[in-house]
Amino acid sequence: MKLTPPYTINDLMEGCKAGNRKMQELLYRQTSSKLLLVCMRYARDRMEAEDVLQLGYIKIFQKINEYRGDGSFEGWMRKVMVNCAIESYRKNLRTLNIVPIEEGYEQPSTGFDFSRLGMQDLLSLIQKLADGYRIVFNMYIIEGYSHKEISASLGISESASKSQLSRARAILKEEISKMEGSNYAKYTG
Amino acid sequence: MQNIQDNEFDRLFKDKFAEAEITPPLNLWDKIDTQLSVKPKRAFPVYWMAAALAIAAVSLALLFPIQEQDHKVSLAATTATAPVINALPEVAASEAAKQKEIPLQIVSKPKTLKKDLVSLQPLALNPQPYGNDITVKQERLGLPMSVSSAADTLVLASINDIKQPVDQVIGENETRTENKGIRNMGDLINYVVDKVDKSDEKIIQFKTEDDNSSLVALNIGIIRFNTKKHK
Repeated sequence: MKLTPPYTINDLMEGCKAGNRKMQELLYRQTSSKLLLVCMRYARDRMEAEDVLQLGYIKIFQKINEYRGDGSFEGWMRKVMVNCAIESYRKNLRTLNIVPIEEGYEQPSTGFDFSRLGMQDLLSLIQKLADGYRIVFNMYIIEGYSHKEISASLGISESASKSQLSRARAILKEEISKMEGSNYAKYTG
Repeated sequence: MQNIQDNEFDRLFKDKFAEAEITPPLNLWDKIDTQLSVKPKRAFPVYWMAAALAIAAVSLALLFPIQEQDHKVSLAATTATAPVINALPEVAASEAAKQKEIPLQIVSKPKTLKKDLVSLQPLALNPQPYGNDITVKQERLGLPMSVSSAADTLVLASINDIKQPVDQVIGENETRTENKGIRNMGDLINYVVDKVDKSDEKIIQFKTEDDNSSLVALNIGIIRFNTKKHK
């Protein structure tokens, strides 16, 4: 994204606290690409991710005065976004059809090794995980939440959080192995 | 891949996403911008409800003026005792003073004064017992001076005795007011508002002691008045 050199992220944050619409737009322009990826990891598809992004920015602007400067502002924004994603997940929980993980998978193209797996590949793998696995995997591995925090925000037990994580990890490893095919054996020596 | 350590696997994932970005569609900001411009809705449409109630009250009052008249008659009957009830002790005293019969009767039996005072209350409300004392009154009419002086002190004494029964009557009236139910539009609106608005200063409140249902309190944001501060 194009950055606007005269403004630091803190300038933008202060402007947003004052309710300045121009500053809000600049903050959005500067941070939305990163946060859309966050939403993409939690959502099942791009459409849902964009909805969450929109909702998340509204929340960020509404709650910006609650940010007290502990931790980076970007980290705070990301947290708000993750909470929005979880909220959306919980809201949709009853309406979702959980598709078994084996279904709908494309055959992996041959010739991958892990180093050649792009972000997009990993993203699509994550998005194919069942909702519960995907949320726990994201929260724990990428965002670095503890199982205690995850269990609290999802309303599940800590042991359920742990078992979902290891199941998610196992599925991802298996899928990556499929994609890598025989090349992976060479790669690891 | 199966043999890779969890930590390493986790780190590889994390690194892949660390600096990555996905550009959102161009029009997404416009959606956010629009949404930011919409003022958040009140959790409860207080203003609308107040307006609706006011309109309902006015229109019903205009539509059913005759019915209100009927209410007046029936209410007059039920609240017939109201003047006596609301009368302050002083008023009751002056009224008692006007009734020459009472002091006369007391003077006729000065030695048992205390007991007679107690018995005055029922006498005042019920004219029947006077029948027996008519002859006494007639005899004593010829001595007005001594009677009046005695009457003054007696009336003062009787006020104290009267107070108690008067309070009781007020108490009865209050309970009756609470149990009277919904008799007119003001009652209905008060009832509905009371169900919805639990605050002390209701958004709208009517006085319904009389049948006219006059507006006594309004609290709609900038428009706010209260003719009756609670007792």
